[in-house]
Amino acid sequence: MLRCLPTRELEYMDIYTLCSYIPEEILMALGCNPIRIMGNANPIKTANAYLPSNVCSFARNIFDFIYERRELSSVYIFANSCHAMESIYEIVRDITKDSKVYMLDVPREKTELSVEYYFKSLQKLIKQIESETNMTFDESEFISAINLTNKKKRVRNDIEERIANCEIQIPTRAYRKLVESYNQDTNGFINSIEKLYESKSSVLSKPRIMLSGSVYAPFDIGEIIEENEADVVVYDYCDGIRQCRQQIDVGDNPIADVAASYLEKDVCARHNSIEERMSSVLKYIEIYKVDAVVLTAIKFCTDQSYGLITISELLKERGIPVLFLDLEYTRKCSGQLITRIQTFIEQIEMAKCKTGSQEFNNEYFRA
Amino acid sequence: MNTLGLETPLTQRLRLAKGLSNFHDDYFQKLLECQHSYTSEAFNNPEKYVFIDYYIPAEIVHAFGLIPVMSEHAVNFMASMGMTDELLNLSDKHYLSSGTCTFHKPILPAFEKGIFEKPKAFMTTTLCNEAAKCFSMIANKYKKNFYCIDLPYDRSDEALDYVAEQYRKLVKKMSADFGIDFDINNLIQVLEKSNIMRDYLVKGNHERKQSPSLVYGSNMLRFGGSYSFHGTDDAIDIARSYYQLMKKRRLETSSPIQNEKYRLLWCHLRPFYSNDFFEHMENGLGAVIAFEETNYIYWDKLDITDPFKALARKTMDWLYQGDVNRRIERMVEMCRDYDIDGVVHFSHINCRVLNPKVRPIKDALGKEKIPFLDLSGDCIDKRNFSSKQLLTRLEAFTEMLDSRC
Repeated sequence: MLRCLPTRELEYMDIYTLCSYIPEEILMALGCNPIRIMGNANPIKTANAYLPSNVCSFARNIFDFIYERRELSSVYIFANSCHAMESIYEIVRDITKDSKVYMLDVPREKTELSVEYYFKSLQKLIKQIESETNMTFDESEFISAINLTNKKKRVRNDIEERIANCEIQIPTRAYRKLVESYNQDTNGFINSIEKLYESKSSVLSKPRIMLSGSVYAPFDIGEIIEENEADVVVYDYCDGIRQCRQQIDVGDNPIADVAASYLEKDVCARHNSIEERMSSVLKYIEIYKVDAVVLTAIKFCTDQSYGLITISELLKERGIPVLFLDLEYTRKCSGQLITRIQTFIEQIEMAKCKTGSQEFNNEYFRA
Repeated sequence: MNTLGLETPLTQRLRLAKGLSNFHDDYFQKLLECQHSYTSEAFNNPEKYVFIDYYIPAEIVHAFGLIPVMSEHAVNFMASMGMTDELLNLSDKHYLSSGTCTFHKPILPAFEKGIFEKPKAFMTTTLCNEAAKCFSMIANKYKKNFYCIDLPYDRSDEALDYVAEQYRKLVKKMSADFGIDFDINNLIQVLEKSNIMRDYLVKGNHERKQSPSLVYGSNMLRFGGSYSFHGTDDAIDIARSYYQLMKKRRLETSSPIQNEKYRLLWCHLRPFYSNDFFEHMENGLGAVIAFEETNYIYWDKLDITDPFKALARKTMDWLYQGDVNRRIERMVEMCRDYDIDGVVHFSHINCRVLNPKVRPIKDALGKEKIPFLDLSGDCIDKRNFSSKQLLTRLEAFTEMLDSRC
């Protein structure tokens, strides 16, 4: 399980990861406890001295988190997610005294060639960790870890399927807890499922909203949407739906299978192909019967902003209402954002009245 | 329009630039001439033209007999001709965030307004992710081919093989898309020409170790446009002229520099629009750019026995690619070779590739006791550039250099 203590005595127990493309199964097989660093959305402090102000606030927040722990022994695994993360890796390896800092090359393509390269990158990472720490990669634990995460993904996918089929609707706050337990406590996650099924059922007359972006949306954005009589039915983020859709089929070479599975995930903004990103957005819209989309980008994240231009144009062409929000990495939405979200939902409601349909009908927007 | 042989606003200005330029050295005039003729030919033959970024080796395009137009150069040329202000304003309607690099921001409006003809394909690497995203978006919008070489952070043999294999696959795809049979001998020939050009550039740069400097470095910061001709006879001609002029000046001790008090290494690019900053800096303060990081020959001779690996190596050898320590080592080497008094890093606002790495550079050069100044401004958007403010900082920097003597 993800949060369990390792069975072996290790110098480093927690491994901090900085991208959802870093396979937790491999880290668990090293006897470690992988923890994804997502920052805490606190005001930026030391990062301002190390990074220019036009590096996104998410990256700077993460830098602050690591900086505060720089005296502690830890293991950090970065991925070449974006230029900011590469730079933070280079600074962190200099300022942390007793920590081990690694970089994992994750291709931005979904090809046989990129899977092969990613497989080699994973092998190299394992060797590096084994040679520089007292951790060893245990193959049987690796298979157990894959089975466990597969199970976890199946359970979560089951929930997602029920949401998509309008059988249940999970309030944002509960969904966030679910994601937290998914990432940090597998058993707790599975146990909490029962309670979620007791949640209120979906009301189809309410507009069904998709939140879509890369790593983050303000913590309360879903609640604001709910307060305004709409439901958030799908979270298209790193720790949202994209995280759990891909099962790992284990064959003769489990590391290669993990590599293939991770690169086969629905893509995020770092991926080179805008078409892939567009098709996954459209797929979610169809599966979850989405009526309107709120696209979020973190200010200064250009990986996201270019893709969102294309996606918002595509959605407009198809008559799907879309709201584009360029945000700071904060805990709460600003008053201005709240007003924009309220107005957006009011527009959707007006469209519903105009078309006279009990269910939401987006024909109104297809102009 | 252009298929009828008419000029676009860009090709018209490229033609006029030769006469307007106050940089009369032979090799630079040849460079302007090439920029005009290649861009005109590209815009008149969109089916044969590929829109590339700064980091893709142009040799791959020339090997197919196609014409590359480099986005960064086209945009910086437009900035120097005052054409980007309107485009930058127009780009706001596409919701490009305020944090978008101004080398990429005007590209879409330039296509929309017909300043750029639409190419057959867009080609880039992930060295600058923003270029990759920008090209991908525009290629999707106009239903054009998009090719992207995915560059790993690592520099291992596996990483090199990964990139080389991508080039191998790329030529197959280009061959199918353009309906042109790929001939490996053409690529080898292009690489051979590129090597000849490289030799001249290395020799020209070697001549420039002379003091006083043999050329104003601020002008040499416009030399990056030559990258799109790598692998052609024209590039050899430009590089040969450059070398011959530098050699002549060294032998005749005929430096155009009037007042060289400090020798600077300039890192990254420059503001391209008209401004008085460099005049004050190089002639007024005597802080002469003795060498520019952008003109450092970062790549080894291309191995023609393994052309795809040669292309991969050239791409991965960019100093901006991967670990910053490699770039720092080269900077220290340049400081030593060119007897540099201080390093100036021009941090182009919103450049994600280079700006976040300034702090490690500053710290590392500090350990080497090399004075370092980080100047922040915009290469393209003059609204984000304060000449007087930067000159004040530069004056303080030169005073600091004085105090070290």
